[in-house]
Amino acid sequence: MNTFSTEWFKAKRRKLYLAPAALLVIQLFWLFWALRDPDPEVIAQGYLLILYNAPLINGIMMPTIMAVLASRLADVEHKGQTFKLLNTLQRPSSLYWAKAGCGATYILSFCLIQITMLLLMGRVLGYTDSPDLWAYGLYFAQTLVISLEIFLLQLDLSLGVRNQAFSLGVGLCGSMAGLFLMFMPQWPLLRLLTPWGHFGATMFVGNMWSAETPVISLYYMPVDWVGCFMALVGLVLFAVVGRTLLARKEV
Amino acid sequence: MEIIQTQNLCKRYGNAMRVNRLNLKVPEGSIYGFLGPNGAGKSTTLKMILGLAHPTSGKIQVFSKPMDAHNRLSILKKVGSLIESPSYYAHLTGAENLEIVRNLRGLPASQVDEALRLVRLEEQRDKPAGHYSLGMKQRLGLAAALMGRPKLLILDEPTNGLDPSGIQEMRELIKSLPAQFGMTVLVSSHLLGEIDQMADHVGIIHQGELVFQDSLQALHTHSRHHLALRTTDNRAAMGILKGAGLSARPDGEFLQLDKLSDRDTAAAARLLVENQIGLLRIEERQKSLEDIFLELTGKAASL
Repeated sequence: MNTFSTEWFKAKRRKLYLAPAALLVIQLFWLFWALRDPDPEVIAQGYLLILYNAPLINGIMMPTIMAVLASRLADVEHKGQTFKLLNTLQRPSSLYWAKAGCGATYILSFCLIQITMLLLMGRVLGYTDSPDLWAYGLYFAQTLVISLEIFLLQLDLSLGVRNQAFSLGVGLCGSMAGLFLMFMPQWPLLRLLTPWGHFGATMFVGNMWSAETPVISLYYMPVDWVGCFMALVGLVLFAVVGRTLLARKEV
Repeated sequence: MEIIQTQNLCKRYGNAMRVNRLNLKVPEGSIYGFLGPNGAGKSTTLKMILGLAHPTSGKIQVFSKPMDAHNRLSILKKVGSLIESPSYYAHLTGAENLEIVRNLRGLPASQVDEALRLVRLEEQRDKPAGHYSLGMKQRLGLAAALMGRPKLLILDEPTNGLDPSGIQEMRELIKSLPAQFGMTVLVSSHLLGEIDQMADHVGIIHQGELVFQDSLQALHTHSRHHLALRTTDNRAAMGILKGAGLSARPDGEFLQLDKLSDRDTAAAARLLVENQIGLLRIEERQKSLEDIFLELTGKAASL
């Protein structure tokens, strides 16, 4: 518990939440802008439309948000050359879990804020359908797990490589990969094997659209549990690898 | 009793053997000066003792316990350290930086003020550490190392970057620790004069190998007096002196003899003159610590 409370103490006056929160606000505005449509057919399936669009925007923005958060948590140790002090006071693995726990708390808060805002957005936009709570619960769980998975990958990079430009660069590339993988259902394996592809792989709302009748028709698809499982595997894998690398790291 | 003992400690980075079969023995209650030129392997050795770097081979015992993954943290609870540059969080104040150490060590709150007082940073306690001067950062690092009054203090070049008065202050503080708190101090430096003024035991490392280890007094006995002679024919003089049972060695333009009594010195001079050898100079000399260091490491004393 000491190590966890120490991690929060270190964050004092650093406003770690600011950059990720700013990106979260942009994400919500983006969604709001994308969803504001007066068409009654859209309004009738509005809450489904949110579940269709939100993973798309998560796939694009979450890798960058996670990279920024992980970098902010790790760079303070590099700048202060504190690993050589901390490693004489605590196990490197404790330091890793403390940072992961700190990041997970932020991510959980972001996901809670995001889902609350999405549900509120539906009301503000006057959607006439009712939100399917099971579907929203699943979306929340998926967003949480995949964001954590990407965060842990970014944390491993940020702790391992002193120059934070590298890990932030990977985060930006991850955002690009997230975008492209979203539109590559023909490469399911690539979506399953890359953490950035998991937002696309686990989407469970589909869109039937044709040029003749340009009306969006949304429908529930079977949940891709393999994708969900792969996200969990990635989460555990990145945690174990990061903890092990930090424990073995010579300072 | 030795507080730190290493056996054939080795550390290899790539093809370079940075520490080579090091057998360090740090006696309890001593100030052990770990001396060596830059890049000799001092920091690597200290990091291995603290478990921050993994030995390629060899053993380390601290407080008579093997320094391994199992014992490491329990041993380090009694060890304070300052390795290379000080570690600090620039956005936190001096007191908050020490609060982190206090929290992780599980010490009472009073320890923060005590540590700040020891290094005379009480008035700067609420200033962000990022605004400290290098000397103040070094003192903050030392305060962190002193938290909980450890039995062993490991300091790597603690006077680096300090001004002369800061060096003097740090030196006096380190010297006072064994008597004041019963600490053993292992302090590294590349400055012979600094170790000479602080330590009572010395280990000299050069290219990863320990080339000298004993008390400072023993190091000083190496700086024994000797006689230097210059004659009109040094070569013939050396033969004559050796024939008379004296150990004469060539030393540049001089001949070097172990220190003789006044009577024996007079007899040696008379012997040379009787053999038609002119005596041009006869001087009493003492080898300085710098000369010894130079002999042991092949480098100048302040490197």
